[in-house]
Amino acid sequence: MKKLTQVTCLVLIMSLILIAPAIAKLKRDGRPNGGMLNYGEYGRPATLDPITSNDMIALRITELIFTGLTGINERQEIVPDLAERWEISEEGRIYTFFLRKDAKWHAKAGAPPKPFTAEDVIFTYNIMMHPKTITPLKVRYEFIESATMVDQYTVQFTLKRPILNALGKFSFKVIPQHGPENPLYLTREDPFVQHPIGTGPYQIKKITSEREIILVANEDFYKGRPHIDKLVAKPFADQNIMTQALMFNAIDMIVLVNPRDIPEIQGDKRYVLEPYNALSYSFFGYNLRNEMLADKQVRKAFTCAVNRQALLDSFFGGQGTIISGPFAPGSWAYNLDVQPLPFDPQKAKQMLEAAGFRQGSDGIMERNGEKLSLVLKVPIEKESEAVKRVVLAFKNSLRKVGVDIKVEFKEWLAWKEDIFLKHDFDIIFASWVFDDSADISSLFHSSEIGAWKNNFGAYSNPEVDSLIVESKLTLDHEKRRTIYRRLHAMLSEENPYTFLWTLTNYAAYHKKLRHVAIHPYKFFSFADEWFIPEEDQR
Amino acid sequence: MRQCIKYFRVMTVLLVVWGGFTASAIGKTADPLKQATRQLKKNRYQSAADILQPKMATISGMQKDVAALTLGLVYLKTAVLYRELYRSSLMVNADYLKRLSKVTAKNRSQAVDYYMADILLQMGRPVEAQKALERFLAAEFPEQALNELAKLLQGQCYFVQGDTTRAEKIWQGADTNLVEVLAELAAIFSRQQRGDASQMIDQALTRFHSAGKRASFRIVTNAIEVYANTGQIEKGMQLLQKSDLKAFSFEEIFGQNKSVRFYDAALLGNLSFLLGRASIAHFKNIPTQAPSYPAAQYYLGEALALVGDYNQSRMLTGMFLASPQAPAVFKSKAQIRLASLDYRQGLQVKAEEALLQAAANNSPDILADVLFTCAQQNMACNEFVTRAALVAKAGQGKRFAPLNYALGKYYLNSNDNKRAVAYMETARDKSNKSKIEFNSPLMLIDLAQAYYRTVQFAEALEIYFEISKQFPAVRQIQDAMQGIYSMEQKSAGDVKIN
Repeated sequence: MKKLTQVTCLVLIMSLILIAPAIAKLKRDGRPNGGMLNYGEYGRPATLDPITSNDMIALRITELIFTGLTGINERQEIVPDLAERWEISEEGRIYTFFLRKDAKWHAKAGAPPKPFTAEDVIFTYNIMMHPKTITPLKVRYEFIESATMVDQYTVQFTLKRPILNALGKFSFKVIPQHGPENPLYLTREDPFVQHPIGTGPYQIKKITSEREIILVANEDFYKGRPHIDKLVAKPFADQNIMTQALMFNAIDMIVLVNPRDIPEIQGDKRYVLEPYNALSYSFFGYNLRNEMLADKQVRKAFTCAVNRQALLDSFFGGQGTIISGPFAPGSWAYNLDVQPLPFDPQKAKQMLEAAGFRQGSDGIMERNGEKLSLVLKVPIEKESEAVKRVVLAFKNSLRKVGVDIKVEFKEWLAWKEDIFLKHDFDIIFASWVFDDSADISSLFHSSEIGAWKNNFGAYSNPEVDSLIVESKLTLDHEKRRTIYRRLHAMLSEENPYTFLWTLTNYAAYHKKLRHVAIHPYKFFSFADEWFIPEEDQR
Repeated sequence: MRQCIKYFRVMTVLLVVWGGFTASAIGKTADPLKQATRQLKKNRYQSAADILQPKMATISGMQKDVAALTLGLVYLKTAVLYRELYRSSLMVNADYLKRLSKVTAKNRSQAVDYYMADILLQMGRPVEAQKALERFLAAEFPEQALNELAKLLQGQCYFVQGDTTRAEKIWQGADTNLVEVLAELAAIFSRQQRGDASQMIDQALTRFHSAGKRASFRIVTNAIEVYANTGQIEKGMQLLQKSDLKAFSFEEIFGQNKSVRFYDAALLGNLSFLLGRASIAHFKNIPTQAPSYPAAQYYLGEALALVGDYNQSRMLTGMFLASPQAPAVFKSKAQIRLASLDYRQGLQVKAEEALLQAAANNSPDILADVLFTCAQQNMACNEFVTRAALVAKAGQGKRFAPLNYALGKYYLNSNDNKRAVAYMETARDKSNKSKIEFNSPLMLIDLAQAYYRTVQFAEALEIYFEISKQFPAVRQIQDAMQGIYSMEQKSAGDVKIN
């Protein structure tokens, strides 16, 4: 009998050992697992990996799929993530990261999940910095001199010089060595960018023919399985429909509420409206390769010709703030002394005349026989009713001072190719969204002119370049702040963009979602902690 | 019948100033009064004052009293706003200066120690202020004026700690050839009701204006204090009109690309005091037989409490309560104010009983006032909080906004910042997120404080950006908060197109 008991125990123990990998690593916070969250997105991401993507929709998805060496908590503190700890050399140049040994890559179909190791970190760094990799990240990591694998779970980065907030920069998302087909560099043609795997709390299960992205909980997530079983990203071309979808329970969350719909949602007790300040602004950006637009008098005239406050009031219900320069008013870098250029069409005309333009018989300004006729390109995702009206109002305002604007709406990917690759445009309408480092270097430094780089308008000013470099070299916060104040004033004066406004950012979600904390930039950083009470799961 | 008409008029005025009536209901009022009332209802106090104040001499008859009541109320509300801004500024600036003072780089600010001492003294921490001053004076700062001001500040530290002899010795030896020193000394003397303060500040201002940009804005701060302390309200108000309230007090420059700006937190406190005094002057101008007198009496009680004259406030509030003409809704509010004043005087039991009685019917507005009192007096009000939370949960719409705000304020006071944010966000008009025209400016200041404490700096800065359009003196909070944010942010430097 005793022997039988011993055998039974042994069998039980062996069974437990065998099935252990299949048991989810659970969070021990007492909150229930289960349920599904459908959220509305205002478009479809072009790529789903963290290296080639450069839009907000992809950023939100990659935040769910991937993780970095370091993370950030709700109190904005740098915390361990894929690295469980780190050491920084005394002079601040050598960063050694000791990696967790329990992190695994999402399983590829039919294969067990592979462990995450130092090789993946080095692989990611190398691929990110490869000249043929199309990525906006390169400029951000130029401060690294070398990356070395010390052992299977230790990596060391040597910096060219100590910099401010280096730890935060090591939050770059790590991709698996066994992910991309090409082991040297990553392009938008690699299948990995459409079907990536990561170490994050959610993994892609399926992308439907309607381009819905279905993500399921990563049972092996090293911080414990996320509570919500399934997340579905549903793209909506029309923001108005998205709000209706929320009101009729077709979705549970909207990542960015159309400002016009805020009163309707606020009036419904089923939903929570949560503000998050993503430090974004909208602008009309100019292509300075066009000789006419290379003249700052002309660009300033355009800005003076447009009544931005009236546009904001009419088309966005006044839910935003007119800005004077390249930072959002919620940013630490915003120069409060700089005022927006005033609406003054008369002055705009005078400025154009001072730039050598004369009104032709058709009312259009011309110089040396060339008409001031320009093409404005707007991405189709921006084809919301409000944006259409803004673009039309811009066209009409400029027409009044003798500028002819032809508006072209382009499909998102085609638009990006025209703007960032071919540079085939005169003016664009778009928005930038920043994390709170307020780093504008990739937008205005002359070294960032080129294919797929963010200085799409080819703005170049040696003084701006020099200030940007100085801001990156300094370890003094107040010095950097002073430099940014100067940059704000200079760029306001130079007007490479007509800086428009920053809009109110609200997410809306059903009250059944609990413990929701939203990262102001990455949005889903804390989504593994969100949960739905059992009675509300469906 | 005449009595009835008179009472109706009083009610009209009360309702108008309370925001329950449209501006057109005033009847045949002069345009500036209408316009000012409209601005007041939109919480644009500065605009209201700018419209009404210059026209006061031209308004006659019964409208004169209504105008005095309106302008008094505008000043009172502005004074309350500045008081709250002053509290916020002390906290934010102390945090900022603390971070600045910890910098060990070769370009460490020297002036930071002086300004840190100044803030610490205002926060009632003279011993720590002394230490900061010792550091500052030991470093031999090249700016002579700031060195001399530091010595005066040392004198104040001694004074508040009871060592008047040492304080006097320092003050007597002060170099009043420096305009900043003369102004600072005038402010110190005005606090002690010494007769020569007015003359000294006038002299300092004359010299300040002839000195142009070289003189510190600190002199304006001092002058506002002197005029408020010596009852020269008109002079103080005229100075305000001419001054750029967003100016910094001192800029420390390090080479070409680094500068640090320092502000006078005291400016906001002084503004509150001056405007509180200005409101009192206007309320007191209303004759007892005027229909608007009961309203003036009610607000006068509030203004007196604001400037620290609690006994007078108590007396007037009691008189208002005894008046048969006082409307019921204002009586409840007055009862709560009286309870607050009782609590301050140590009559806790009496105060708590009065609050319980006032809140007996669970009216959301009254519960809100009770909670504001709890927050103001640091009272433990668990029972009220529980009741208020239930009432707020059951209610919906703008009517419950003050109650949600009061709950938020209570939790902010208890340092439960997340809950404070949640309640105040419920109270917020999200369609007009940070606009003072649609949200209580006081709530926005508290919400900014809650966001600041939860390190959501961008949310707080966005609120101040809007407030600054009407109240530029908040620049000192914005600048300090931007400084903290720049040091605290740890993001990677990402930017995306949208």
